[in-house]
Amino acid sequence: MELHQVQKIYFSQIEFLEYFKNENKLKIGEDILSLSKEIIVKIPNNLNVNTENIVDIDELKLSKEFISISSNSKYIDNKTSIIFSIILFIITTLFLTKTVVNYQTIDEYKKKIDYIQTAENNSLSKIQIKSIVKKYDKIYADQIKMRKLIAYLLNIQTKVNIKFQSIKYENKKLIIKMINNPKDTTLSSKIGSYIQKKYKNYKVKIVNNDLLVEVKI
Amino acid sequence: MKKITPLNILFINILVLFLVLLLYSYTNSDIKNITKEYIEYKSLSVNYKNSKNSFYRKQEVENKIKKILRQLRIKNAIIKKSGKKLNIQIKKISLSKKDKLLNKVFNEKFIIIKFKIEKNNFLLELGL
Repeated sequence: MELHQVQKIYFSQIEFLEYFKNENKLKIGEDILSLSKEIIVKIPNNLNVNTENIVDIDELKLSKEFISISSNSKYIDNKTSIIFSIILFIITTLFLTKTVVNYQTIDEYKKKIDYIQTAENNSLSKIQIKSIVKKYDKIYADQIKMRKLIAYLLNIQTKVNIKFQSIKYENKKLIIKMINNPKDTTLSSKIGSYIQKKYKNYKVKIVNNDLLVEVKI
Repeated sequence: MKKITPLNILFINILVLFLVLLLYSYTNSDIKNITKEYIEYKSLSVNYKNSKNSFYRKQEVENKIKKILRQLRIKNAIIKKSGKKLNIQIKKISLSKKDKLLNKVFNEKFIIIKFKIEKNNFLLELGL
């Protein structure tokens, strides 16, 4: 072949090099290739080529034997992966169900809180309610203290020979005047010792033979 | 397109499980907080109700004191309402009625702001 007849030169890797043995030629589609001095040459179509020793690529049949190239890990095979996947899926489903249940529970609590807030607490804020409760508790404690003291003194009145002359309660101060007749000298100390245990600011004294009890509630 | 292998599915499963666990832990902590808040609200509500019920309400105070006076047949009582107070003044009251009135008033759920008992006079100021 003359050099001027060479149109193009390609460089490539060829897997069919084996077929060029024994002066074979290779037919790919309509092109016929031959090996000349380690170079694959495409024979022009206008040249008459001996049809013997031509291997047609299209007529080649693939072998039934094959090697599978797997991308799997060498540590875990497909079967184990699937088993683990199933186990994980079950665990995921369980936790997901529990999460959904949790969300529902949270919603229920929110509704309950809203109901308490609007229906039972008259839409008052937490701070407002705490303040009201504190105020009522203080009033309640004061009322109980005052009533207990009066109950005690009324009880004394029935046991010993004394009578209430006046009872006055104003600005959380209770003033009781009792007529002590006949004079009981131990009465003031008896009342005093009782009041002392329960009240901080108090006065028990005898004024003009009358017993005067003053207690700051 | 790359083929999805069982190993890929396993990794996806691990990732999903991690996300679900994260979500679960968040909801768990939310449940604890909301339960605590609910208990607080509930107890506050009970306290508020109890506090309100410790004493008579505005209208109840007036009705109750009128009922007590009616029961004791005290007709000369002057009842005056001023702001958040209800004043009851009784001039000339017998000793027995005075004791009974005192007893009844002290056993009812009134807020006693002021009272003065002298001889046969009775003065009472209740909170509304």
